[in-house]
Amino acid sequence: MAELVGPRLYSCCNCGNHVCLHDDIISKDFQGRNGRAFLFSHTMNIVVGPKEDRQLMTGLHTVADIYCSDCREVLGWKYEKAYEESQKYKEGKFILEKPKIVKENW
Amino acid sequence: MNLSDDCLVSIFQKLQNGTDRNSFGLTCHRWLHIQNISRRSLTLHFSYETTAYQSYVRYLPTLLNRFSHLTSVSVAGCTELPDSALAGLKNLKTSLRSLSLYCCFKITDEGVTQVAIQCNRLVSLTLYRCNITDVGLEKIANFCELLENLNLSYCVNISDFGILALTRGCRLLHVLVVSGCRDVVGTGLRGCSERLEYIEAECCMFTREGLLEAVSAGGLKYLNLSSPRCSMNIDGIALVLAPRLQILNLRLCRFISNESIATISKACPLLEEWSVAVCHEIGALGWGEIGLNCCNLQVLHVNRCRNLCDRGLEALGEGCGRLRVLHMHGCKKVSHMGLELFRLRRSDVEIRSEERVSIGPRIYDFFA
Repeated sequence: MAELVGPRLYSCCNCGNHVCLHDDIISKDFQGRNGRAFLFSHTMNIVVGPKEDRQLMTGLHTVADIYCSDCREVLGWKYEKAYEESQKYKEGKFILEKPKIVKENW
Repeated sequence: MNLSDDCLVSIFQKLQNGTDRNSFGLTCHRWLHIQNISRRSLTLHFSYETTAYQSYVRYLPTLLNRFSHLTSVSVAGCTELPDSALAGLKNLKTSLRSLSLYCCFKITDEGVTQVAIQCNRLVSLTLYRCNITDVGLEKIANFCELLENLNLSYCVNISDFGILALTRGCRLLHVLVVSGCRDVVGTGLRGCSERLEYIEAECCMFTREGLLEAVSAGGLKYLNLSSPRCSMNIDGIALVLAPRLQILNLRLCRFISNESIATISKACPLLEEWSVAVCHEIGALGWGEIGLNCCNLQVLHVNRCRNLCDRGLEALGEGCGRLRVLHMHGCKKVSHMGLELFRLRRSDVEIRSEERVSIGPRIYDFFA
């Protein structure tokens, strides 16, 4: 029976770099390019790529792909700007795709 | 005056540029034959035009028929090339030394078997992302006894079973590339000869047993285990059996511990170039051991190591007497002061910020 010591972390699927905390999940109801994705308020050890406009399921957004800082694997994207009022809450938050992150020992 | 074929061949070989050579061949059938038998290498490159690959598929059999003394054949990017196109290689039975097939996804065990049986004097073979399995490797092991250089990058359907066959059959094997072969863990290298000096296993998942087998022969000079696909700690113990190791690439092995680093630095006294870039677990203890034990180290890569601090850098500077180049950037715990102190103490060491993904000699030069 493992004792949980410390925060529950997620790591990059490719190299094990810690990228986010379970406690920072805002919603688990998102769709990524390859399946399910989670919306996080904070991430760490990631690199933000260039901004681009993308038509997502919820409308037009300006997003930037995010990469693991160690191995440069694309893990998801960051919402930079939303063009509909109902989507504004996403600005500044991060999407991490479920297939790209793994639970770190929990 | 009738010149013999040898005379004509000598004359042809003095012609330096392509236009002259083509003009020679256009003179008459006999001279065309001389031009054809003088060609030694055939290379079909990657191309941005997809129509090029269609013409490769169409013309390869004709080309192999026409040039009967080729020593080297290379086909790149031809994803639709079928196994049957390789049948023409039987004309090159005695002369072919090197065959390279890059991204020829339709080449299967059948095609490789044909190649192995017909061209058993092969020295270098590249099967990059081909659709082969252990069956194909067994055939290569059975027939190509002279094989020295083998590149099986990203052939995801092969496993240690096939590698074992190769280890037993190709005793002259010198360079082995298994990068990206997910199911290869290294146990197939059991009993390899000491001629195996270069192992390139980037993005693999070598286990401790596998690593032990890989180094057991004692001849290993170059080992690349960078970017492993999972959170494995590479146990330094295995490398005790590799005293002749000169180049070691452990980039992105983020879980390698101080103890492993200590063991490796003591076990491999001849180490000349070592990459521990992005190895975050190495702390002051580990850096101290490198400084103390790596007397022959000339080039060290420590890019983006999170736990390289001033103390660690100092320890490296105090040791590693033969160090010439230090690749370092993005080490957040190294302060300006620490860096300047290192520079003052070790003005003989050049500090470069570039992060090298591959180190040491270009492995692909062996396949030329």
